Amino acid sequence: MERRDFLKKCIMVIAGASVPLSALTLVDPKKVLAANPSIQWAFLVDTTKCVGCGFCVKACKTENDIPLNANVTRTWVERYVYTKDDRRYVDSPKGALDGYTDARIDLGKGEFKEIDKDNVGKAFFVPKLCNHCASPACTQVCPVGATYKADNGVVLVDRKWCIGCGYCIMACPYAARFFHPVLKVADKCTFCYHRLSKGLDSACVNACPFGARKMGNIHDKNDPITQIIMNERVGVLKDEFGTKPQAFYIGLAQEVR
Amino acid sequence: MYSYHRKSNEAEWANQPAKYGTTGREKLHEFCAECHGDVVKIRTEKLHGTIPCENCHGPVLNHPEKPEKLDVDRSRELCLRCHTNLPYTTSERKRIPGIDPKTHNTGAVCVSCHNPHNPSLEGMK
Amino acid sequence: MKNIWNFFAGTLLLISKGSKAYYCWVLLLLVLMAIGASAFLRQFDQGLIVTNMQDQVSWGFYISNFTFMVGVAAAAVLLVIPAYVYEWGPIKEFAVLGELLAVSAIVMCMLFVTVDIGHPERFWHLIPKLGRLNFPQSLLAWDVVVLNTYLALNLTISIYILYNLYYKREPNHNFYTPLVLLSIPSAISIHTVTAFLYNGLGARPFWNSSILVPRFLASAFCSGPAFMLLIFLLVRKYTKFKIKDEAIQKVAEIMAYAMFINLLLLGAEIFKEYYTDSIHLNSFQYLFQGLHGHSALVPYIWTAMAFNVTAFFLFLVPSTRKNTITLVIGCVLVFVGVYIEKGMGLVIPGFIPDTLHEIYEYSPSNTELMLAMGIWATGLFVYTMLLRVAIPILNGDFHVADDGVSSYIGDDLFIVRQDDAEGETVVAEPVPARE
Repeated sequence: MERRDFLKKCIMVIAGASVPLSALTLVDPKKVLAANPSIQWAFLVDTTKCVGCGFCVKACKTENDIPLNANVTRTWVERYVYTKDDRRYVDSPKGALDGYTDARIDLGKGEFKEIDKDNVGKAFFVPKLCNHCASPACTQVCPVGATYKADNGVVLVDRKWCIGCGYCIMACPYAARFFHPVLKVADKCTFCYHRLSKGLDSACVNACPFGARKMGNIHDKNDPITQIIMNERVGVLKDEFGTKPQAFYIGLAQEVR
Repeated sequence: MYSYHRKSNEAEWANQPAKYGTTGREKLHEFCAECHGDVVKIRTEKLHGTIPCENCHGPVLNHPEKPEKLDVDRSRELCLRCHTNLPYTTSERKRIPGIDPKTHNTGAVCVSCHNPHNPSLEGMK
Repeated sequence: MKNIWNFFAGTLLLISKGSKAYYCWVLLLLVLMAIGASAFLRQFDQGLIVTNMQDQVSWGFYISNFTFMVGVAAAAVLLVIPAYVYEWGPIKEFAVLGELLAVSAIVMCMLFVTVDIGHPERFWHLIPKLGRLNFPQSLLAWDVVVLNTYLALNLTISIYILYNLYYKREPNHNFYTPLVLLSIPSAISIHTVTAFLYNGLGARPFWNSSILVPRFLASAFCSGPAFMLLIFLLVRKYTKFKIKDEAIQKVAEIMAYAMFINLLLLGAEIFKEYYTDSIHLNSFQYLFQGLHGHSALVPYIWTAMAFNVTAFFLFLVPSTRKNTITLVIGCVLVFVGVYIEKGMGLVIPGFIPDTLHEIYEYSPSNTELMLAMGIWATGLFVYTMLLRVAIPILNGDFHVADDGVSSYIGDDLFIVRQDDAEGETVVAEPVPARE
């Protein structure tokens, strides 16, 4: 074959292959959102109020049938300890299912780091959960459309449809997703969708004695939580990924990722 | 957003049964007060009043039908969630009285001395 | 239709014949496949908990192998371009063997993906219409499409050519040329899309680098041909098929260039990470130096580096390239080097440290190793069977008999050591097959 012929054929092949592509139409996400704009759930975490009791984790795992002893959880609490000689430690033993009952830092594998009481600079607790991003990385990558953002902003996983490939787990910048050891599908925080739709608070919000966790409808300007998000200095986790997280944090430190 | 999904799945999630009632901070124990009115009222006036009943008494599920009696968690570990002394002066934890679990009456259950519904030291049993 | 059936029946008869070595080889593969199958059954029963994968490292040894095999599959294009576009005789004679290698590699790819998912019985969710393929949003959906396209193209081309040769007809140029041309961008696409699979995850800075696609392609053009050359050298030695030296030299030369580009791109990546020294360096540190006392991959990656550089020089210097022994050494080095670099060396550091900066050191469990071995055996089994049919057809030892119905099998023995001197090989008596 001459080179010229080759080029000719290449062009023909490419032109032929491009026809079916044009038949694909992309759904405009804004249109989908506009269909039901009345409720958009958002979460507010006040890290200054959290004492690391872990009641939220226990309530979440109980409410949502997440195996208590498996190393998976939909929500967890991290402990940050900064020492005066400028070392930083972060841990979250069992996701703080049993709270923090030890001043030592859990380094994993049964090792602990003792920190001198007088050397502790600042220390605080940060509850984490799915951010229910407005532009989620996880729903984008699912090969079978088993995970999606519901009209009210909650990101859900269709447990009967998920094939368990684990791609969404690695796409999430917040490590909010995990592999359900019993159901063998991806699992994540649902904002307690079943409770929201019954008019109840989500289990973690309900369980928090200190008001560190709250939820509100961000499309309702009069909602007290929306008021806080609008008027106070709140931050979100890792906004550099363009995911537009819908969990807002009060008292976020730079080291919290 | 990428709302390309099995529509019926939203209903499947919505129809899951709830285990915890609404005894949390926002609703101030309304559910329990319906039957246990006076007791709840007295107990929630004290320091521990902000703690939802279910955190210690367990999820209500379909109580009072099933379970008839809730399984109360009276363990030392439950109290230690908040009352372990952690030297964190910059955290809210500093405002909560704490003990060293390794030295403070090891092995004993807290509720044998302290009254969880009236936790002030005067209220000790 | 009847012809197709007769062809099929003939091939079944053919693959049942062979030398003792052939039977031993096939038996070995079948045993390994059975071991793999038992491992799969256990994993299917108990779930992915029997693997060492966790939420921190959610893709492990299986997907590492998958990634590597995609590279091997894409490499067939290296034979297709000189053979069909430039009509270069020495390679055209055996280009079909490269296409069959692509077929076997894709079969392995699909098996590796299947065993990696939690619900393999739900694979039909990926089939459009029947299930719901999230195309075009998900890159995994793209991968399903391009891998299947590539598989279909290579199967069609190779079977069409072999089928026609069996019936002693000249394959219709106008039918297969467009398919061959389409298989070229298709080969590139399987690699591009597989690289995008990693590349598109903003949460994983180790992969989120635009150099990943060219790196994938360059390493594919090393590992695939290395595997092919090893097989061709074996084919030349143990079957009657003749492959010209100049063809092998050409492929080795291309590998030298590809390896240079591969090393160059890797070097560029390493320079950028180490010179800027941002937090994204962590994964590279884990891979090359170890991070916070975790260094499971360090010895492997340095082995891979040493192998790749050595092989590059072996292929670059004409005298070592032309020497069969150094050529084989070079191919093995490239194969092992790229297997490490592009398998575990590419997949695992993407997860370490994870998005919360935790470190979970991953190494495959026994089940994972056994299952992977089973899949490798399956791939080799498929390729052996395909070669068992293709080589006699290309040699003219297997074609339709004069009655137009039964098969003529001129080469009863497969996998027999061929002596270098012509004419000394034992020529088996031509046995006309039964109907």
